[in-house]
Amino acid sequence: MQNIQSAIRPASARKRYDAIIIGSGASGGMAARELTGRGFEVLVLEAGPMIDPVRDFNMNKFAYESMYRGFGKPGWKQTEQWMQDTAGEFSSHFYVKDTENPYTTAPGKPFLWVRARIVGGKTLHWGRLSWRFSDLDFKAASHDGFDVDWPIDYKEMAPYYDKAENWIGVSGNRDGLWWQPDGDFLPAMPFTCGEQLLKSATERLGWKLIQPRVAMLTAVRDHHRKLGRAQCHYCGSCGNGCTVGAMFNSLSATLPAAAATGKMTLRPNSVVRHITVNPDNGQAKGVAVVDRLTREEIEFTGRVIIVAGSTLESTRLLLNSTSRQHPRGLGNSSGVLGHYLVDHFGGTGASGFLPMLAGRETINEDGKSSGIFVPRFRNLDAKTKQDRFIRGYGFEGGSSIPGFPGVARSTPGFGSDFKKNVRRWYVAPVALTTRANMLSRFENYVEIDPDGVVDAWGIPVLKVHIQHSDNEREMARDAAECSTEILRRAGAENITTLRQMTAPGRIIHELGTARMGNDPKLSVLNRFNQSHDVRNLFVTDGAAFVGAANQNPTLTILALTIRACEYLTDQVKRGEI
Amino acid sequence: MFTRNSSTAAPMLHSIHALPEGSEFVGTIEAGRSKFGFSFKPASASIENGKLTLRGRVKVTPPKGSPRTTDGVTATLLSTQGSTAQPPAPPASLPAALIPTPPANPGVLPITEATGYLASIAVIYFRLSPLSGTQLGLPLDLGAVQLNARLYSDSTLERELLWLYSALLMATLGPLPDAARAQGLLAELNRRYA
Ligand SMILES: Cc1cc2nc3c(=O)[nH]c(=O)nc-3n(C[C@H](O)[C@H](O)[C@H](O)COP(=O)(O)OP(=O)(O)OC[C@H]3O[C@@H](n4cnc5c(N)ncnc54)[C@H](O)[C@@H]3O)c2cc1C
Ligand code: SF4
Repeated sequence: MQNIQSAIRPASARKRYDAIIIGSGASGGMAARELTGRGFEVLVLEAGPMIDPVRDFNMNKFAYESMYRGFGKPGWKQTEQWMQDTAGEFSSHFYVKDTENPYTTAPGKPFLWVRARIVGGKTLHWGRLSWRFSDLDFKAASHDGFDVDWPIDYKEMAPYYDKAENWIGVSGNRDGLWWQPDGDFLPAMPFTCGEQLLKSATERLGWKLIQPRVAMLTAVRDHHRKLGRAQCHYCGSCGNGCTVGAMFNSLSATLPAAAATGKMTLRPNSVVRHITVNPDNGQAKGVAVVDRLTREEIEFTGRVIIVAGSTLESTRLLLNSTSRQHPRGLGNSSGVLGHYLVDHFGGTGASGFLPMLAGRETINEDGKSSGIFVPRFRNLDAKTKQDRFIRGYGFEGGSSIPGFPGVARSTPGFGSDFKKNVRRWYVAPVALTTRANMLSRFENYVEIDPDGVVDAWGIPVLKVHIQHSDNEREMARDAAECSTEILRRAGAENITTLRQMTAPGRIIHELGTARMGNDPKLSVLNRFNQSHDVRNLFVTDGAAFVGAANQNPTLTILALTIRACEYLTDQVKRGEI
Repeated sequence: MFTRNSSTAAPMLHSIHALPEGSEFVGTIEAGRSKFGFSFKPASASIENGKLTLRGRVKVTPPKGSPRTTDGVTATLLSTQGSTAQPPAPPASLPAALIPTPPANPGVLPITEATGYLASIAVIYFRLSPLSGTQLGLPLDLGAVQLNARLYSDSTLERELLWLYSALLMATLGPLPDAARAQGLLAELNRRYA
């Protein structure tokens, strides 16, 4: 991996940058690459610290090297990072400390907000699943009459998906499903034996089961090699930081590419408080920043401001950026800013063991980190239309073992018998979990906490209001039944059906709150992620989403970012910005 | 946890993260290179203007030297963060009328974890009444400090208090406020402070 130290240099408060990018995660990193590649001089402001992959990535750490076996000191998580559900002992430094970064919720309606505040954002430890949306998603309202369509369609997005996929490197199979469009993939990872059994069981039910599409280099193309990215060696430790750059993240790909142009200044530890506006015309002027470490307050100015702080941080920033011209928050003349919050939901599903696999030697189960995907099979057409709910869901899952054998937890006994038993069942677990579409509803929203709660830097925090509706509950019931049926058909035993839905936020696909649309009265951004109200303001992350679909969102975030950058370059050239 | 407004004014302390130790909330404050111990020990709880208000003693312990205290400090509820963890069981000694009954027929549809009768509180955010940094030996502006009380519990008393705070906040601010139940829960809370 190449390093980006050359880009970390003093930022000038006197200079007017061509673009200021807030955040260095998936979207911010891609915006930096796109704009520097087009000749822009950019300042990337990142709230969190810089990371040194050699020191901070723990790909090669084995759980048994720690006396806490990767779980961390008892009580650590509950006292410091209680909402950072996926943080482990070797990755906790990628995540925010909840002690410094509060948010509030309405009583009885919890929201789990997983955040990264570090150069690279959540891409340092994301799950890498990279799916395209189709017109079943972009035009969902035309399909079932609920809410509104996106102002874009698949045909327009396809070239940007191509660019994003090719650039980051996505492994997968061309499956020929119209509602789960294909791309130009790197070789897919083969299924394990258990996954083959799941596949034939799923197909006997008339549904599809395909290889996941993951942003991991199963082969290396020239542009990957130029950045020093190496092929994946299937160690399965992606969540602890990949030191060889096989997994896509901002640090392995987009930021080094931007740094190499010499046109990016990256300033870590820069918490943007609000966006400043020009009092004469209400356009964005720059940003007000507090240094995370020195607490110094600084202002920077830029011709274009790109907000890429992740869905809810971006919306928080806009809501906190009030002025005479924008009394309800920047770019919020519609009153829609903060509304239509969604997250996928999971929790429902099934798990069990495949007895026919017990006791064999491992083949490729050990360390495989991709699994399977059952693409949506409900409400695709008249034949699959459901009476009880609209939209649909997919199943993630698989039959492999990531390091620690989970079966050890439920295996009774001790000593050599215990070990034999764990080894026997080690290769046989199987599980399916739901990834489902939550409907975008106005009444699920965020606001600045009306009671005045602030974070450690005195910045007002969000209050989140979100809950599931009967549509989600009906879908969850269906998913619990269907996942159990797949496992049963595959011959699994000891099947447990999981029937509780995850709290909103737990799937870490929070989306919406600054939706795009053609009507400035009903949306915050136009079809190019540009604010309807403020021409030189773009929001390029998941806040722009109109709906959640049921697929992981990051590939769409990356594609939208590329598209927005192309458009804004054109606008700048034409003198429109 | 603080910002500087100008080079001459004392830096402003925005928030203190604290964990329960029995009925106290205990944390640390960093000022310059020094770490000070902090605790707030509630002596009473009441509901004022519909909001939970605690009254008690703030104690600040410097790295060297003796602690300084301020009595009669109020901690007024600002807001809460809902927990996504399993709530603890209700205190064993509680009158049955104070324990909400789970719905007899939860229905056939799945429910969302940690919602409704499974809900509890992860953090209570209080505003402490203005404190004097000088009096407490701290080189900080304590004019509007927020107490982030993270209700992590690992003793019976702490689990009981977590349950009581959660039930009280649901009874006062939840979708179905219940003033009588709130008073009963308040009495239980005060009993445990005594
Ligand atoms: C464990 C895990 C697994 C995941 N798996 C998948 C998956 O398989 N597929 C998928 O599509 N998605 C997955 N996601 C979600 C994915 O990581 C996000 O969709 C993606 O990273 C969002 O990109 P972003 O640029 O919007 O935000 P981020 O990547 O979070 O980056 C935002 C950056 O902005 C910075 N920032 C925020 N506010 C400010 C401010 N005020 N000032 C300065 N900087 C600021 C933050 O510090 C952060 O570094 C997963 C997430 C996690 C945590
Ligand atoms: S499995 Fe591959 S992508 Fe993941 S950490 Fe190992 S080498 Fe990197």
